Amino acid sequence: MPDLISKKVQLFDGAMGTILTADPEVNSFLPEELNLLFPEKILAIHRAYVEAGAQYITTNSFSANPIKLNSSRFSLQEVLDAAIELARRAAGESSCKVMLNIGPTGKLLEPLGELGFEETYENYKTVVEYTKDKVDGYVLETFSDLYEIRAAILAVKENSTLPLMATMTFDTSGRTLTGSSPEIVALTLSALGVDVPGINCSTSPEHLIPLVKRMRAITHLPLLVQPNKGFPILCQGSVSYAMSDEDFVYYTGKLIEAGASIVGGCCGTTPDTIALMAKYKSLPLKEYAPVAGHYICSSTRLLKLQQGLVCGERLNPTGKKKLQQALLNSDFGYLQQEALSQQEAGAHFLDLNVGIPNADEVDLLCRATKKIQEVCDLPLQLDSSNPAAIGAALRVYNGVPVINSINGSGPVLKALLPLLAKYGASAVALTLDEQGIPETVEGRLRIAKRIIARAAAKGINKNRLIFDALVMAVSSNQHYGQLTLDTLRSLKKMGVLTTIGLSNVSFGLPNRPLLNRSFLLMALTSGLDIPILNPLDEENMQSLKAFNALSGADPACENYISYHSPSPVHEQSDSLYQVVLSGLKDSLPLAMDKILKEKEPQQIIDEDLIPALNEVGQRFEKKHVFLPQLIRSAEVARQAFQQLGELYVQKTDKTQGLVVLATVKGDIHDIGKNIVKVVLESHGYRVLDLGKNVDTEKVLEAYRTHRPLAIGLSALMTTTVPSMSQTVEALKEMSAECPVIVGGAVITESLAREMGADYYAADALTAIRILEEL
Amino acid sequence: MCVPVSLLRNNALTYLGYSDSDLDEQTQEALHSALTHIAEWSAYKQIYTRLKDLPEAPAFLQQESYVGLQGKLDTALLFAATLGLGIDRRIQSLSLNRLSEAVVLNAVANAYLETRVELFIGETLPGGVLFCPGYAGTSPEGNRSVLKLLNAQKHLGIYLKDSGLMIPEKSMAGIVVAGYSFSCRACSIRSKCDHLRQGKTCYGKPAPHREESRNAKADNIKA
Repeated sequence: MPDLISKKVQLFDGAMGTILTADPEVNSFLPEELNLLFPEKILAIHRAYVEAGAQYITTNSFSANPIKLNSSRFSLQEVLDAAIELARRAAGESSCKVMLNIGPTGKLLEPLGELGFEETYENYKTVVEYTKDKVDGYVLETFSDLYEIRAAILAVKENSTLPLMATMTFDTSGRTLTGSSPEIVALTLSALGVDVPGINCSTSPEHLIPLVKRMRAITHLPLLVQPNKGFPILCQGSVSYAMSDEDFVYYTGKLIEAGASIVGGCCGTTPDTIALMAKYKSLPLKEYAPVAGHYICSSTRLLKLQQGLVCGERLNPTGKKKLQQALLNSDFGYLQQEALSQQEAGAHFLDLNVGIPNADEVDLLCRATKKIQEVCDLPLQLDSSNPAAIGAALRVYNGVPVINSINGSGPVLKALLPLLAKYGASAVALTLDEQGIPETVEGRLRIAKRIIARAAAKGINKNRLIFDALVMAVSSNQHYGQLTLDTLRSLKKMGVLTTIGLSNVSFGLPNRPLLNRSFLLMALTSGLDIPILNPLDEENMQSLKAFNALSGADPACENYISYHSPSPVHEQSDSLYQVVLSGLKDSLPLAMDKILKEKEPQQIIDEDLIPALNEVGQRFEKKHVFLPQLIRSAEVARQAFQQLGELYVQKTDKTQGLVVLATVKGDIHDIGKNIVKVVLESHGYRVLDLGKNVDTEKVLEAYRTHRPLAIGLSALMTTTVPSMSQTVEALKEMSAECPVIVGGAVITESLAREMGADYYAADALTAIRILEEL
Repeated sequence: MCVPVSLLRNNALTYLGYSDSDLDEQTQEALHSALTHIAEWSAYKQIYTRLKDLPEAPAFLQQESYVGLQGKLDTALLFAATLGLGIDRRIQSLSLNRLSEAVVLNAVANAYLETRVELFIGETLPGGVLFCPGYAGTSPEGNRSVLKLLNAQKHLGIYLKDSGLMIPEKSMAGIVVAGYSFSCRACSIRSKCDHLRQGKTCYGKPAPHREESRNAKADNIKA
């Protein structure tokens, strides 16, 4: 940073809003409008902070952005100009720096809200472009959503060269309101090039001490800390703070000991508080060494890159027809399920590749990244050979990911190293270049060293690179297996992390799982740190867990023991009818094996699956079983249908047609819709699930593209009924020839009739009956 | 504040319709697992203020639907609470590949939030009920006023979308009032109300009129 930062502890100003709120003459106005309506009051507050000893003052512009200021009588430019001018006047000839204060939009970002990432970026970009020549730096503060502050940081970094401080607010649980820990905030903000990350607002200073220590464990950058003066008390319509200035100042000292470099105050503090803190300005600033090792994260999960991790490989359409089809149909639900399955199976992070012919990979990788992050908190490894796709996905990724991959080729390094530097990501580095894959260990190491040197020149430490020793099929040259193992050993001597894509080794040979498993153990003993493999392959995972236990990578064998701890014994059956009736998921493989030896698929469906489902349905209606049991049966039946379909896709003609399902625009409740989906699939229907919060146009497009058997719309809230009504109306206007079925907590038979829907389904079983009658 | 597990469990079972029936082994396990998820993923927070401490009464309370409240407002509280986003995320993830567990967790989360709120009310305003705007025929717009007056976005992280949906979903906002029962007659989901069918209201009290509860049952049979 900047020359702004000295070798001593520095002092920020305190609250502006607290003082304005307490002033009855002005507290009914938007605080930012006061820059123009009561400039002398704002100037006086700034001056009081300068006189108190603050070395940085922040402009009165917390809400001065296009989204938040849209109802003001003044233009954004007027407000910003006035805010900056007042702070400049207060700073006068002193060395006090004027930082433009930027706060959150107050809106909720996608996927929970309507505000798009790029819209948020543009909002802040407008502010930065207008102010970049007028202030000494920027301070983003009181953000509680990592995604929103990401957009704001990019807006500042891409549109100005000024110093940037960025602070987030945490609740008493030690997380931001959207669930990010101090480590994740420190990592992400540092990775994005923020000069001074930190914490503001939140809670009392004493509660921030452990949070500062946790941030300090991740970043060596200076930290800005501006706590509230205790907890707010709401009384007589106004907020007050109970902590004394003296206590606040005492704990500020503790915050400095814990690692804070610049201190100031937030809600409840005043110039008097800051004046008492001025004594800390003479303290020397501790220097912190760069943190050893490297971390990646999602918005809620931190992961240190080290030996013993598993990268899940299943989100890659190569050779996977279902995944290819799902990507072509934008059926991201399938990807989400695959992601969650790998997480449950023990993957620590997930490779994501969406490269399919005739698709816009840039757009697809961005959408897939967002969709997976909606439901799965594992960090991602963004995988593409297209630098534009990598760049676009890095931008919208919420956290710090790995990219897959860079290599020794000049053009690749030129395209991707700047992206790695900008977003602070890690990368898989392939030991190949434009000449191809070297057939010697030395050749591969030469490339690895070249990559390390080129990365270092961009400020990228080698601990952010995971070197791929490259596995090729031993069926084409038996020497290849040993070559990979030797390369792994040599790479480890260079002190870098290693990976391989395991399954290539067995290509073209029988019993590939056996070869993969054997090679995995050989590679692990040769120095493989992080295999990229299929975590649903239980034997591979068992081998890995055993290796980690035996090699010491699993401290106290904790994971190994936990994996082998006895699980509860459930009721078992080998009768498919009984398995479906009782929803015995664990017994399904056994029951399917047995019944497939006895019956043809059609017979199984007619004599076992459908009768069992009918029986469950009757019991449900008689209230002998309840919703969880009904769903369990449907989930088991759905799996049975899927297995039958995969095995006998040519023989069976039991697909009942396609049903499109959507939760309407404005509504994000989708459990009800998901229940209908499972029950439909359990009865053999194909379902195109458009998800929740679905625009009318998307439903129309699904109709035009797929001509489904029926369209099902769901709404849980009274306020989203008009949105459902609008979608039904639009379908009728385009003379859609398929029936529209509506349901959901607030929908009734008469409402359905009023909006022109063809059918009302009170529950999933009613939907089945309606479809059977079509 | 500790929530008695038996109370929570019973409230959750009511949501799932199990009140008079024996639980099967798998649902028992799902319930147990849901309680673990609640402990791990939920972060209960609340904020409240006495209505009389506000400079003036919120405008929505002047609407006709609230006319019966006049005279009861001296002790009333404006209140909001949430379980945070973590539990929403967990329910959503489970609903993709373990739907039956998601349904159970959803019910337990609802029950947990309501139970926490009931315990708070029991301690702070005995005999009070939390009435949430949007129910019993009132306008859901009242939520906007409640959340704004409490600055619930800043203190609790509750956002109110244009559609009226609160994020996090497991959030409640409204007015806690003692000595008054809201009528369910005007409620738009009265015919499908699980609470009413069981002789209760969504705000945790016995149905104010036996007839309402009988009518709800009759409506349900017709549907």
